[in-house]
Amino acid sequence: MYSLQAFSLLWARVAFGFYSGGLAAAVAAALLRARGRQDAVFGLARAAIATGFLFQFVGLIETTAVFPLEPAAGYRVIIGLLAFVIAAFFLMVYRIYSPRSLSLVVLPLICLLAGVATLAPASASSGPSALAKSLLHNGWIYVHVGLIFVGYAGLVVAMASGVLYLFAEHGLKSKSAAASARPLLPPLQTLDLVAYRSLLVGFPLLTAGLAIGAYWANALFGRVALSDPTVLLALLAWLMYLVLLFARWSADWRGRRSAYLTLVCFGLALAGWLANGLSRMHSLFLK
Amino acid sequence: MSLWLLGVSHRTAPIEERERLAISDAALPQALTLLRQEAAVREGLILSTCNRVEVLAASAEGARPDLLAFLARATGRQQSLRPASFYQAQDVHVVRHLFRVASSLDSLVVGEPQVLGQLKAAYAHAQAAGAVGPELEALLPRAFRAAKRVRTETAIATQPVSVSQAAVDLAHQIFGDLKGRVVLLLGAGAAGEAAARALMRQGSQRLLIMSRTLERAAALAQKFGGEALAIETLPQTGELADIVISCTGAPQPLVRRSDAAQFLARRRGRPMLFLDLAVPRDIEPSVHHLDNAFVYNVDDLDQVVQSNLNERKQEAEAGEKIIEAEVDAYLHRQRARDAAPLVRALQLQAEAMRASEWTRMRSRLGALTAEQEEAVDALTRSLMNKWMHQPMVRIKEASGAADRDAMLDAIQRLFGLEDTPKT
Repeated sequence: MYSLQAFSLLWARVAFGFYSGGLAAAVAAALLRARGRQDAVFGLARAAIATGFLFQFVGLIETTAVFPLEPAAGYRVIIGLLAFVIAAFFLMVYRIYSPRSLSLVVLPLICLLAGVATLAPASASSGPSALAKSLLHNGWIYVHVGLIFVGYAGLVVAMASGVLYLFAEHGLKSKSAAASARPLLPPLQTLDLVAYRSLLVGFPLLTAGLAIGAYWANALFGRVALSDPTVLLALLAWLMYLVLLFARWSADWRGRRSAYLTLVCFGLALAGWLANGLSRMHSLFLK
Repeated sequence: MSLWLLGVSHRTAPIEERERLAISDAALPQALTLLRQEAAVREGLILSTCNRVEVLAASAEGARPDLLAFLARATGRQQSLRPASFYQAQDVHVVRHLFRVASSLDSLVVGEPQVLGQLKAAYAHAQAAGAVGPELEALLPRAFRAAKRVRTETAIATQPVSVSQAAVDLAHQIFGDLKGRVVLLLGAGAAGEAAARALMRQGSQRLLIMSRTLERAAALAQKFGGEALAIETLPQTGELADIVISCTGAPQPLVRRSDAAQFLARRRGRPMLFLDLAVPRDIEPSVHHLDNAFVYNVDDLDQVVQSNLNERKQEAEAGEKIIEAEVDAYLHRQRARDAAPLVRALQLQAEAMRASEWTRMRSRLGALTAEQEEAVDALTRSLMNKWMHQPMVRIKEASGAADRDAMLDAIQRLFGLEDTPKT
């Protein structure tokens, strides 16, 4: 007999399958030269992502039912949640701007996260400490994680737009790829706009998420430990996020420069994420 | 039915000759009426564009219409027609040619979209003139279908192949939607005007025009619905433009790197596209190295066009394969359709036999109830249908086979249906 936990894992695996199918379709579409076929196959990719998203949603609901306010599923659920938030953000951007080739950069990341979430075994945790439990039951930790994840999702989409912008701009500047790049890459201004608006949405949410985290870290540990690698890198990523927006507002940094800064910002955020394992505060929850 | 085609195109005749043969839209109804009066012609269509004049006719099997004589009469050129300039085709070759023309594989610029619209218009004219019957009604929609397949399944029409189109395409790559964009035209060269016109057609909102004299700029502004500005105001007003098209005869660059840097600074980094169609160049080449500035000169645009033309030629090969598949599919359908009279004749023959036998036997069976009559009727009908099933299948198969005529002959002889037409 299947347990609810097994079902949530099953849905997560189905979602991973759809995301992978979406990635395969997006790559196939990129290789096609005929515009009509390319549109149709990109449409398939989008449908696969949306279906994967729905399955992941079902899986997350069931996970919540199995582990109400309990982090026993550990890293698997957290990573799956990040993939889910990025997919949601991406689908929203896709609906507004239809930047089809953005899926070529965002989808590998979603697939990686969804895959790790699916394949990694659920940790046999001995259970969170009393300290972590009190925080979890308080509920603010979920707001902290949720806000930061949306901030990260904005950064991921901005990074993907930045990467495509650099490719498209290189094509136009070198004049060699000007003729062949068009069917695949969105216009430069669309890419710049998608990156900027994603950052605009993500920044306040990331700021709020970090502020909540800092408040509770202060309540728990009596201080915010800047020596903690996750905290330090998250703070640096946030500062770079701020510089990025400020440079755009005050110094009119758009396009290439903005794309490079976004990549640096994404790199810092990624390093902060990878440093979670070394973080005393965050390893409380991520076993 | 037989199909016939006679035509001249850019491949076979110079423009002077094509001009003489061209039939305007206004003259088409009369020409189509004349075509229908032609001996042997049952259906007809005339395609007259700047690159080709073609007459397509359907006739009874084997009856050959004199399309050259018709064209001579229709154009009033009985004396001056040079038969050597014409190409002719019959039956399957007509189908293939028509599909290629519709798909723009036979066009001067392979992949250009206009010819399909022109063929559709020619078909509409022929329909309105009552010159379209079952043969062309079956053929033309298949030609449109083939054209659609070639267009969507190959990259034949994806890339621009004229300087104006290349300019529009570049603008799309940078700005996306061109609605609301401001275009600045510097100078009054024909290439610049063509590019500006193409951009305005794409929805650019405002056209600023600067020329050596304000009067000249005003005249152009009136022609295009733009605004004339003195060229001396360029340093102050250049930043208004998203796209600058330049084709003056100025000996020195009009836009230097420092000017462009100021434009971009005042535009707060929003990109600018410079299309420099002038020789000597109007835009300093180093402007291209500025962030968010893109400079394309005549050679760059020509290179894009040439590379795209080569690409279209490669894609045309894929298009030819689609055409072959569509021609085969069309012929198969036609053969199946052609076998219909034989199938019908066989059905009628069988039904007549059944009815006659049933009438003969009925008197011998004496009084039957209504149910019994119905049962016998159903039994005989069912036996007949089962018996006829295999021959019907074989006839349909034979209609698509290579030795179609021999097989259909054999079937006709076997069932005593020699008088039934095979087509």
